[in-house]
Amino acid sequence: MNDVLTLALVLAAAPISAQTPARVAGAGPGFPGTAVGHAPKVEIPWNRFHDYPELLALFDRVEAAFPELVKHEVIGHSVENRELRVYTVNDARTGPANEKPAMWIDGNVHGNEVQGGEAALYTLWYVCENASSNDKVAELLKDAAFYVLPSQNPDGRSHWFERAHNAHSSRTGVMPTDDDDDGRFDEDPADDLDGDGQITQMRKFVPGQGTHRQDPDDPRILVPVPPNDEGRRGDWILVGEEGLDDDGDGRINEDDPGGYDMNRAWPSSWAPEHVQFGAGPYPLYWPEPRAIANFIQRHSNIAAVQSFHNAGGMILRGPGTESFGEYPSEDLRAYDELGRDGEKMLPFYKYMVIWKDLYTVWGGFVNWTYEGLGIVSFTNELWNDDQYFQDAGRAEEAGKGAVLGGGFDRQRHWFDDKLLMGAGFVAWHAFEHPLFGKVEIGGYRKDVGRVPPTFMIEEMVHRNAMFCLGHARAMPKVVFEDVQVTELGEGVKAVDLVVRNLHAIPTRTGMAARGKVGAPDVIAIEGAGLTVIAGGVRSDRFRPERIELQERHPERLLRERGVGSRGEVRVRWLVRGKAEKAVVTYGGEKVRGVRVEVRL
Amino acid sequence: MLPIHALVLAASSLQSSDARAAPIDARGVSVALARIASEHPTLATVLPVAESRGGRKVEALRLAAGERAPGRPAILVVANVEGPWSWTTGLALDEARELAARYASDAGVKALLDGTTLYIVPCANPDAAEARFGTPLREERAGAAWMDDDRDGRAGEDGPSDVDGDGKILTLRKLDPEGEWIADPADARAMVKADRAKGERGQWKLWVEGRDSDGDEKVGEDPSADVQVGRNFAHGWREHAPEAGPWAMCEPEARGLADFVLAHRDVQMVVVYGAQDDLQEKPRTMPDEGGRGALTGVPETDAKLYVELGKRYKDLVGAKAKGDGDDHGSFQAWCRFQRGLFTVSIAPWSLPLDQEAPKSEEQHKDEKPADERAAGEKAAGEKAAGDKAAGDKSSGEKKAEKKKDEPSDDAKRLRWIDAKNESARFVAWKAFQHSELGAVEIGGFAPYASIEPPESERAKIADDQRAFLASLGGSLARVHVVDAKAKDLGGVWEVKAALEDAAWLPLTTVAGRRTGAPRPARVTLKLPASAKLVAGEKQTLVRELAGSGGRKELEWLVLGAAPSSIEIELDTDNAGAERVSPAITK
Repeated sequence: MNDVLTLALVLAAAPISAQTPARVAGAGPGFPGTAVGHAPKVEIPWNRFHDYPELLALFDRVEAAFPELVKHEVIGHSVENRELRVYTVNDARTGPANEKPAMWIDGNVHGNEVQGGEAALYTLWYVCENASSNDKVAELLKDAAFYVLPSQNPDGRSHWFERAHNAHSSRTGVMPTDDDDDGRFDEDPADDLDGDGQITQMRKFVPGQGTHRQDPDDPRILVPVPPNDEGRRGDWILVGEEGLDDDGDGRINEDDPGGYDMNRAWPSSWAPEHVQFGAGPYPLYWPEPRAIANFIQRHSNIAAVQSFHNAGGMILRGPGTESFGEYPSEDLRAYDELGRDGEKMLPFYKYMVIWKDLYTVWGGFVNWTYEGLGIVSFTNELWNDDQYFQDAGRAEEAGKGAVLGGGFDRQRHWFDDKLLMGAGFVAWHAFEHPLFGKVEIGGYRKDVGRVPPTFMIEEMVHRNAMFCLGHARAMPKVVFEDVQVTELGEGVKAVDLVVRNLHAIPTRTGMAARGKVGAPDVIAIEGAGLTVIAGGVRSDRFRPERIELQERHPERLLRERGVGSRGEVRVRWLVRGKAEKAVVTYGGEKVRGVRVEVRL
Repeated sequence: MLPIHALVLAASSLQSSDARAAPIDARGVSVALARIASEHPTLATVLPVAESRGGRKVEALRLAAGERAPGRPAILVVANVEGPWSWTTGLALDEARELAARYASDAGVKALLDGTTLYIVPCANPDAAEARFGTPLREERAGAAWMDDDRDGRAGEDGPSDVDGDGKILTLRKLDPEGEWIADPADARAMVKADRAKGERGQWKLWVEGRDSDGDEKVGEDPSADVQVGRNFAHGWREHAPEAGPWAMCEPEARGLADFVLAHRDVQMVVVYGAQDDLQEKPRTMPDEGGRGALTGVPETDAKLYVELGKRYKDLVGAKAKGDGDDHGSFQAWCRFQRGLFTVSIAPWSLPLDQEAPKSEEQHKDEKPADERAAGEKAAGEKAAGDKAAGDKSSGEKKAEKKKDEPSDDAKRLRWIDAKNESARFVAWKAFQHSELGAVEIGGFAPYASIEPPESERAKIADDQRAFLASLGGSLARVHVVDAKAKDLGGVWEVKAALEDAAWLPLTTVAGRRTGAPRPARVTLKLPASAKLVAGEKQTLVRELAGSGGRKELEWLVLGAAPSSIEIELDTDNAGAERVSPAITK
């Protein structure tokens, strides 16, 4: 006689406490996002960038305001002994952070790419401000946790803020490195000759002997003289970035602080320095990436990674090298879905493959987190030149009338003149250089070009934060469905159920399965007095005898591939015994504590 | 049968200080190094390298006489990165002890230590090496646990164990219709993979001795240690392989050794004792030029140097040990292909494969194949077949490739064991009732049987290896400023000089130049403040200088300085440093 019991959609998570935290006075659901009638608990000026102590202070303010959600720990120290802090965001009432799938977010591995720090801060702040007022955020926090590292490279960030730099410098960490192979370390940095805190350009007037000429309508702009045997030569030459030959070797600025790239330091597809500039003598050579790798390695519940960079407007995924081949197709489904959503959420950003659409990267961070650890990972390159005018036609109009080659400079000056009142540009001014003689120094400030102007920061960090939340919401979520018990006769019962992953990211990615990363997922059944005769995964929903039996320990079905992107696994056990009930659980590194009680 | 402990006991650290090239544990190494340093305070200094996960020290002994002037070259000697080569730890210690002791009386040793620094790291992998001194005796390359090798959700739950309680981890074999192994027709004690193409049907399953602790009908398939220091270096590191570890240089010994190399830029040559060998056969090569990718072999020009050094080695030592050519993730590969250092692996001994077949071998041949006997009960001590490397894929694959009628390597090893009366190295197959597997046999090569030379040969090996090591000091690149001359052109001095390397090795190998890791020689023209450089470079970096008289000419024009006030300064990390004033010439 068949005794069929059906349990409809049994959700996995631990029971939720009836109590919800009190709402902040004046704040309502939806802030930030909707603008009227709300105030956040922590006011943060989203119209500037913050040096490292300021950035940490802001994280600390959020932690102080939401002590039930945020806790930080120090995971290591930089070369100059700055703290590397991870802020964990978790609603502990729904379980400890390490028992939920978690998203890792960091920024600023390149010291000059500062807005990654603010984007990480915004994401954490947004989640906290909305944890009790926005249903979707509350739901997310029930299922997931976040680990947020404000900066992978606090030394580089600090040097960029505190010292003279340009938009591209201070990318490196600051461990002394002999860039010019002369046995001396960091002895010939760029020099802030005019003392204005910026490393800009030097140009020299050489009438009739130069390679460049001035734009006749805008003398700030130098344009290259086109190759021409008949015409006039230029009047100007460019002589490089502000600097001196500090070590007297006949070269200028060839050995500045550091001289490596901590986003080439990661173990997967790592290649030595002669193949990949900045790689260092071995993977994780510097203390910052080593501390981060140790943390991530220990937190096998991390199921999503975002590492914020600038610039160019990209949503990047690996592989970093052509030789890696393509990622497993089951993982690409999740990647592509998130990436294409991202292109719509982030105007002017493109979803790109690192080696194919950008350039080859050996040993990149997100390559390690995916190829080494099997975590779906993105690097967003924040800010894009197209965002200045937000329209190619308008930009072209602004650059109109430029002499050959000067259109882009015209556009930037137009924007700088009209929208920043010229604040972004250091006007050319005379300087007596010990080697070059009389030169002019001038150019854009360090905070122009790779970071947005103040009034566009908030939009940038909000859109990117929402991309992260979309990514976090795609982390695997497993439920049991259609639990059925069938009496087969002779005291043998069949227990059938469907294990469903509701979300886009597999419980174990194809990459994790391929690399045998961590532990396989386990679907287990147990009950007092229950004997499990056989068990396995059904390959046919209509023919229950088509079953891939697990040879040993059928009570503990191992799933190297877990449950795929929005996928399902149909499980059947044959059991006997006096047990009245059994408990079925699904456990894995990215999925914990899913259980259902089955009446036998 | 001789007790295997006869092989083991010589290894105890307590009695090792005078034994030559005997296995010695990490604590014994520390004691011995400290003693050398205290007995020769002007020559020897102990330097820390790393501390293992097991809390054991990795140390280096620096041997150098006189002032350690800038540019003085050094040789780094490292032993037993793999783990089971503890006798080479004893060998390296013996070299350190003997060199220090002979400095005062031996002109060759004096010349070596006066001009060259030696760093000797006798035991690079103390945790794995500890297995040599423990019970049960087993060969161990791994130190740290990491992976769930058998993917059952439990890590390290089913490692080797001494099921018959004889104090050794040997090999299990069981008759099984799914078995892939057969007895070698040349010597039924040795096991070879059945070759289906030849109509051979497998009869035996082989495992390392152990229990099936997790009941999966596999034995020792998920050992408690996976990560091998000797596979944890950053060149050819195999991501996701159990022996490689979660990332290159994650093991403290590997990182400590790498950091030691990075910190000691005076090291020009690395000599590594253990399983690998570069001197018996030409190393794997690649063209000198071409491509920006990682190096995949020794550039042809460098390979000539290795071949020549191999000749010198064979002339001096006469050894013909067989090395393991697989260098992925090895310390040597990192030194050579990423640091660009001239790196020499030496396997000072391996179990000979060239022992002549005695007539008695016919006897083994004629024995009935093991399977035919297996149905009946076997008497204890009955001659049976075995394989020291059950479960060792590479060795199994090699055997599978053997030519017809040619004995397997293991059969060849048994010839030597029989001829030399080294019977403790092979344990006869013996029936055993296994708690999970039922009727099995346990036996095969004893741990370390193929690794450690007979005690009677060790003193000679130590003397030969020391002589070879001592000879290397004279081979190192030594760069000098030669023919420094100044000619008066009338107010302006023409200063000329050459850099020359009269020694055998070049300033940098081709691998070194391709990696860009070794710092080039730097030549700086030092002038008094009143003088002016009219032509030439104030500083020249020289990246390439051949050995055996390779030269690089340099030239400057200087105004307002007497030649005696001009200095040509040479500075290198590891091939000399000096200041020379040009002589006036016409």
